[in-house]
Amino acid sequence: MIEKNKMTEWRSLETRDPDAELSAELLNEFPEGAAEESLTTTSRREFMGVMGAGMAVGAGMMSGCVRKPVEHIYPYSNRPEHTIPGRPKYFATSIPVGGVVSGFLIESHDGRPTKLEGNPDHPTSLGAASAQAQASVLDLYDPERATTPSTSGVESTLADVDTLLAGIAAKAVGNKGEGLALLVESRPSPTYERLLGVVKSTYPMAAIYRDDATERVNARAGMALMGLTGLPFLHVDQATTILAIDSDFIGYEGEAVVNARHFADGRRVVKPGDSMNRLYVIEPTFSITGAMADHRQRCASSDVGGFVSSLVAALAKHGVTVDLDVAALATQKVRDFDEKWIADLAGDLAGATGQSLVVIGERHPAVLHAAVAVINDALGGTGKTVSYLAESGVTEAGTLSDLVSGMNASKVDTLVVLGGNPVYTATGDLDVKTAMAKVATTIVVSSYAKDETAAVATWHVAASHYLESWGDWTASDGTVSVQQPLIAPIFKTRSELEILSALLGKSATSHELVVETWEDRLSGKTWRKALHDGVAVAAKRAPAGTLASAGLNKALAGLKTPTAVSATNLEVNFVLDTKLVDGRNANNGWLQELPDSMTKLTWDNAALMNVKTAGRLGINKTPKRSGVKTYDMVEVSVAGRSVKLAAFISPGLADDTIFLNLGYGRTNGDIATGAGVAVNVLRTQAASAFAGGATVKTVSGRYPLASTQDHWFMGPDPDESPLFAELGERPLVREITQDDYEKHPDAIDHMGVHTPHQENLWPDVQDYSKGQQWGMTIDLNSCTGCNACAIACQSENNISIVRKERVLKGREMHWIRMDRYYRGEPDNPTAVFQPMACVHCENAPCEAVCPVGATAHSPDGMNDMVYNRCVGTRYCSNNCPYKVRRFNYFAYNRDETVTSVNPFLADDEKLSEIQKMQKNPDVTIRFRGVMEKCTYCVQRVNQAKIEAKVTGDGVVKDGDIVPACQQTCPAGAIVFGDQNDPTSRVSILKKQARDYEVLGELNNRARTTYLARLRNPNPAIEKRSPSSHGGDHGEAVAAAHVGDAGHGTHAVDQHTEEKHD
Amino acid sequence: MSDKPITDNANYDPLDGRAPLIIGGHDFHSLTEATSKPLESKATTAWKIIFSISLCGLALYLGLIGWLVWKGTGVWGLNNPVAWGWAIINFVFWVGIGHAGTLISAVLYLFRQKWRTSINRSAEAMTVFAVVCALSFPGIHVGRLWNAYFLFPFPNQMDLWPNFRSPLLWDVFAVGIYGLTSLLFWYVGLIPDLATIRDRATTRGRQIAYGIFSLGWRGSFRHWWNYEKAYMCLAGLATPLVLSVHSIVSFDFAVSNLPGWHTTIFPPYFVAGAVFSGFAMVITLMVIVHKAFGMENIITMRHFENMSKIILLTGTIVGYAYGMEFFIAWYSGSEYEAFAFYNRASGPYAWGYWIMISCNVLSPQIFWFKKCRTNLVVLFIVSIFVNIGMWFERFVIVITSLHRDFLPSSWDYFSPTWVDIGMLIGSFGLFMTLFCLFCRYLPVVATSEVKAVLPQADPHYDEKGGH
Amino acid sequence: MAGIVPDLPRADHFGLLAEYNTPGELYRACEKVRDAGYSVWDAHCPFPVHNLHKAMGLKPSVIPRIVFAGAMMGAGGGLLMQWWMSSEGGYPLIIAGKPLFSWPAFIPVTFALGILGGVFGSVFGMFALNQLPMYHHPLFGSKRFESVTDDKFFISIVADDPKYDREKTMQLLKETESSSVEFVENN
Repeated sequence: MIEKNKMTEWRSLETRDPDAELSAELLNEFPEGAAEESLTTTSRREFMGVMGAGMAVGAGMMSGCVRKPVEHIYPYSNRPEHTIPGRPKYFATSIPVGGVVSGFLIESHDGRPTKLEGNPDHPTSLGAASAQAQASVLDLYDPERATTPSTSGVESTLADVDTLLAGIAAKAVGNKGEGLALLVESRPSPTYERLLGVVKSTYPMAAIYRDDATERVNARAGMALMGLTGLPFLHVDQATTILAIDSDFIGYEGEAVVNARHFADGRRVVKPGDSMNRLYVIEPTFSITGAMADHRQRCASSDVGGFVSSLVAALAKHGVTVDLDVAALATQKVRDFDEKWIADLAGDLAGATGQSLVVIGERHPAVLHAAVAVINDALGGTGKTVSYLAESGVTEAGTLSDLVSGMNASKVDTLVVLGGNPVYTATGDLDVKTAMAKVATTIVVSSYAKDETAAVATWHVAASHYLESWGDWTASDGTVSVQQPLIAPIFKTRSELEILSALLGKSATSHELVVETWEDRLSGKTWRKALHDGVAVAAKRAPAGTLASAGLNKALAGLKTPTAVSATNLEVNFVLDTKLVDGRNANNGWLQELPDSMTKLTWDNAALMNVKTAGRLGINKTPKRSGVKTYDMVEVSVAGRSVKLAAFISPGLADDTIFLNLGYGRTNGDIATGAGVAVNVLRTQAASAFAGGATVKTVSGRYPLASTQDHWFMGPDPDESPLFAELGERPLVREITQDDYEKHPDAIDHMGVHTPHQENLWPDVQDYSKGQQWGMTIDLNSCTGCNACAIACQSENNISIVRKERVLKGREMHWIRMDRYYRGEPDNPTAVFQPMACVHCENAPCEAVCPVGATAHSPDGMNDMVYNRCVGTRYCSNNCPYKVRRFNYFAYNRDETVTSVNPFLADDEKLSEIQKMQKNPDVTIRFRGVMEKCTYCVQRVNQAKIEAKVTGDGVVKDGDIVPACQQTCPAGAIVFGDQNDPTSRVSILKKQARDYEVLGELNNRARTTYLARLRNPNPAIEKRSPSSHGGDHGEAVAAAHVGDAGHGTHAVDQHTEEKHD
Repeated sequence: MSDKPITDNANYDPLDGRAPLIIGGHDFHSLTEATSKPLESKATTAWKIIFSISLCGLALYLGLIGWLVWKGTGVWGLNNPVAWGWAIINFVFWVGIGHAGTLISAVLYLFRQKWRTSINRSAEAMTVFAVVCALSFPGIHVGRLWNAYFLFPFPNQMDLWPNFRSPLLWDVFAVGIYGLTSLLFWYVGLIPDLATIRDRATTRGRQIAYGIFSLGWRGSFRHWWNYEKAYMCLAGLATPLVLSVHSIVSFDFAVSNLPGWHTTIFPPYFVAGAVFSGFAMVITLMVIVHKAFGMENIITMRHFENMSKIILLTGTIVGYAYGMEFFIAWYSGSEYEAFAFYNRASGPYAWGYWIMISCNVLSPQIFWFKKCRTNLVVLFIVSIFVNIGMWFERFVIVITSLHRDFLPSSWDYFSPTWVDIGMLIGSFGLFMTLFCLFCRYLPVVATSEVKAVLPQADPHYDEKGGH
Repeated sequence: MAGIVPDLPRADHFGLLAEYNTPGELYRACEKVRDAGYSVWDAHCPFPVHNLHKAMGLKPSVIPRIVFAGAMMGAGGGLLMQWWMSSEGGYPLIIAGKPLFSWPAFIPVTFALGILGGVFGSVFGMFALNQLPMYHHPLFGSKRFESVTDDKFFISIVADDPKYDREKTMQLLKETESSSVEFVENN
């Protein structure tokens, strides 16, 4: 962190001009590909040499295609400026992840980018990064990445590619690009759009098509209906009352990372009287946004239109007239809603004029996006809680279906696919594969030679990773930042920009292309500053103009009335996976093994449905156990097409809806293969997000699903045994309504198991009141359960993945576990999250039982693991009440060269040279047979302490130590610091009445404490139907205080009994 | 004493009160003959068959250990909440078995229970072999067994010593010392009988072999005089040890904070269970041995009846312990404690719990009837049941407590792999191999001690006018 | 060394060996020999004959004291070791907030080591007192003596005994209920 605070300044090619002749000579001296040859040899020394080259390039930041000769670079003859061996450096870059452009800082160890963190200076990051973004670093080191170009399976060279492209360019210049087609993904990049523009102008006959699952097509079309060219941009920080209509806006949709931060800021309660925003959610699925809701309702996707019409009507009753054709919209309503609920909601929205916000999910049709825009406008939100920003320079492009019909009509002789994987992602009614067969030359630029589209292409060009190439990106709010590489291309790869320029007949490096775009605006100091800050142009986008609902009403008039979803008319929903998106991340082991926030599924998708629907379909509620958990198989059919996959019950989904995650069942690599089932075949251009009239029937066979948490409730399940009925919910996640909290701040304590004053058998030997003592708080009121912390921890601490078969056995290694508990009715529950890692007990149970003292306490209060002392008795894990210790049952980090002598080892136990490059050198790689667990990022703590000793009085300033999980938490829920310093953030938070220790009754004295979750329900709704949520804790406590121990949880009763004793 | 030999001492009730321990009109020499025959005659086919089966078991065990070392602890069914599995279960199971031997020898010796003499030798042997099996498991169950020596306090340049606060380390000392003590106790008892074999030996090889191990014993009474004192001291030391060892083994669980483990009733409950399972195993083996070597007159129905009474007693004690655990779990008012036990009886592993109850608590109850106590078939079957039940007791304690503890989020299910099962079978192979060798090469009955309990061993016997 | 048969007899032969058939005969014979005031002699039997030490006039064994000493050393040493290793002798590790010298936790090992000391005391003490192992002994020269481990009982009077007189002693033994008396060479 210290390093980052004074970030190494970017030095561009220009500043290296003095060495121009040097780089020139290097170019000649170093034949292309020498490095790869050395990569494939087994000599470690040579390999380090190449890394040395990477280091020089990474540190010196020379342009992409220059590599220094191995033997001349290692060791340094003269040290690159600002490089301290063994000290990481941080560089700013930018890249769209899941379609959302954001700014990042990349941690680089000796030229090896190892970790991605958010860029605090970038408005769509604010220092945070999503799980997907952080995991993208792993793709750079994927041993299955394409390393060379190839033509119909045969390895080729970049020279051949250049000649091929030059040929195409020459031909295109002749015939104005006739027969040339480009299929691109959504790329909000000035240079990219510039080049596309040039292509259009130079080859007027050439056709450009765009297909990208993450493109906000519906939102854009909705704006078009309102006469705007642009996209809505949310200002969640301005909103006090929010309605999310099937929109995961603080989870995985849009600018979720900043939205989550702003949403959390809107409900941070530090002292009594702090205000909280209120979130209503209505959705068919159960998103983590839904889990954060104060009030949540379920409705099928096809009922969303109907709900909007009810809302419009209800708003009218509160004097908010929404300017749209109400009658036309009303045709969408085919079922009844909880009108009282909607009325209260409308009242709440209307009451917060100018501070209310309605959000709708991208998967819903344009007309509804337009309608919501009108509603927001009527609520005075426009310009305050939501603004419509003009999009500039989005090149006009056809759709994938246009391309397919074009190819089938043999209008295309050359197809260049820049990114994307249409053969896999295309909807069932588009046969891209056969269409491509009709094209003479198909060139696919992608990372995997084995991916579905590349496999049927005549040419595959290995794409450079974004950490290997240059680019520039425009974030949704208009911020432009430059994508700068941290390492020279490791393999024979090309970036999309380089391909585009080659198509235009001039071979330029991505660096040259980006510089070309910016040279008139940025140069010298300003350019270097842009690279250093990670923000090139901070200018906000211009407003897209004013709303006019004429187009909307015409569209409304044209709406067809949907058939109501019912047991006989099931609705299938196709949703982008929260980890793999549309499948682009399928070969990323970190994401595959990351448990989904709600279902906790890893390595698979499944037919998700709620208990009632499953019951109707005759699906077993509980899996069978034959060694591992296996689940019923179902066949889901829509319009004649069908897929078979496992059925998984996920509480809280709308009745009679089935959810299928996209992105699984790919075959582009060892990781992706065998993970889940591809469901795109069920989609059509008409119904790509959800489809009615589906049928689901159980079929023979069972399928093992690796869910890391199969227990739903925060306590024994009464359905399991009558004996469990008397045992209540356990006070692990404590939740209370804000009112009750205001009335009884001590209620949180009373929820815990009441114990008499706790004494130690021993006098306190260690005086933890002196010196700096590290502690942590996790605010359950902010945590959205987005899993970003889990991946941050994984990449910082070299945590291995263990593959599905071992997750099935329950051997996952994540140091931080996102516990998810459901509350209330199985079919209409609420959900709470609790990130659980080692809580660093002062009286650590694990330490006492270790026979060799391999886990002991540090004087600053951390529970340390001594890996090389550990013999692996696993007693510590048994004695850990939180079960946060993880054991290396096998050698997950075994050196490839070692494993090669052991024929019995599975391939996935081998760690290849390229994979090693990702590892963080500050953290030990654990071998088989040792225990591991959260260390509070001890490497960061100690670095900060050393820094403090070197530069100051040895006292670490508050905020100088930021563990990986805290660093990346979008909601800012995790705070780490010196709990002895009364002014530190952590000790201020710990002073709150809602600060509590999980299982405090065991007298472990955990250093990580949790801040109880607060809910801010609408009193009107709460009065009518006392919520099934954890709120009843609070009520019970309130009751208890007036002497009535009648209601409430066991814990509370117990407390009151104690009181009455 | 009448001239015609008595053939049944279980129902024998002479006017002079006590029934003789040894029947069939044995004298010193016939005893020597009877006990030495198995060693001196050729191996029976029965023995050969049992021994070769045992060897296969042993081979399986060693093979699987090799596999375990090669691949890693993951070859077992262990997972995150359930970090201890069959290795620990088998360890506790075998240690438990290993208690009857020393108990029979030591405690009964101190209580002057002369009937022990016929069975103590093989019971001690059983103890030693059971402890060997037991010790093999903690040895291999650690993740990095090439570093298992870290558990011993050996000097090293880093001044690192084991953590003496850990129950596991207590185990290392307690069980290790128990094994050593049992071995010495057994060997000391063997010396005079080895001398007997030596003096009867016909081949040079046997003379040398037995000569070496009998240490030149020549029956000197001045030796006997120290020997008896030493033996009594050993018994006096072994008795508290045998009680402490299983208490300490129970500390592995009782000292932790896991619901279902963290129980003060464990030490007595484990000791009772150990005696229970130990005697069951003794019966199982004795039934085989005394049939196989025709020792019906030395290992008599009365011995079996006494043992079945102990089984009935200890079985009822563990039954009480099970009940008391449950009561306390409910009475404590601790939800976690209550759940741990409700979960045992009605959770996913309820089947294991009820196997345990029916084998350990119900099946011994038939020993209220003398008919059953004196029926070898019934004895044999029940003893097998008890062994199964006691294995499941450890399974219930280890697995059901671990698989669901405090945080429902970490709850999971444990299923054994073929390696788990193979190793349990294999450990029986190891045990039986050792026991077969023992039956073949060592006197299975403490001959000199049995001679001492014959009526004619009393120096004033002939004064009473024997002949 | 009182009461121990010296292993290096100075006389030209070992002594006399009388055989008996029952424990009773042996018992009464021992009383005679004891009363005759012999000191360097021994009785041999396949099992410890009850109360024979009275008949032989033996003093109580010192084994119990050795055992006690061993046990004390084991326990004391054990506790000392644990204290030293967890504080002075090693890294002062902070473990679960317990003091370096957490004596209650050290009891089990202390106890076990105490037992071990006692066990060693009794076993090896007994070996030492009995001077075992002793693989060569003149008595092994006698063929009859082989049945001492089976069903026969013996008295051996060693030539080194001050009261030993070849004829008289032979006479004394014959007067007992011995079934035979033989002369044992040094071999």
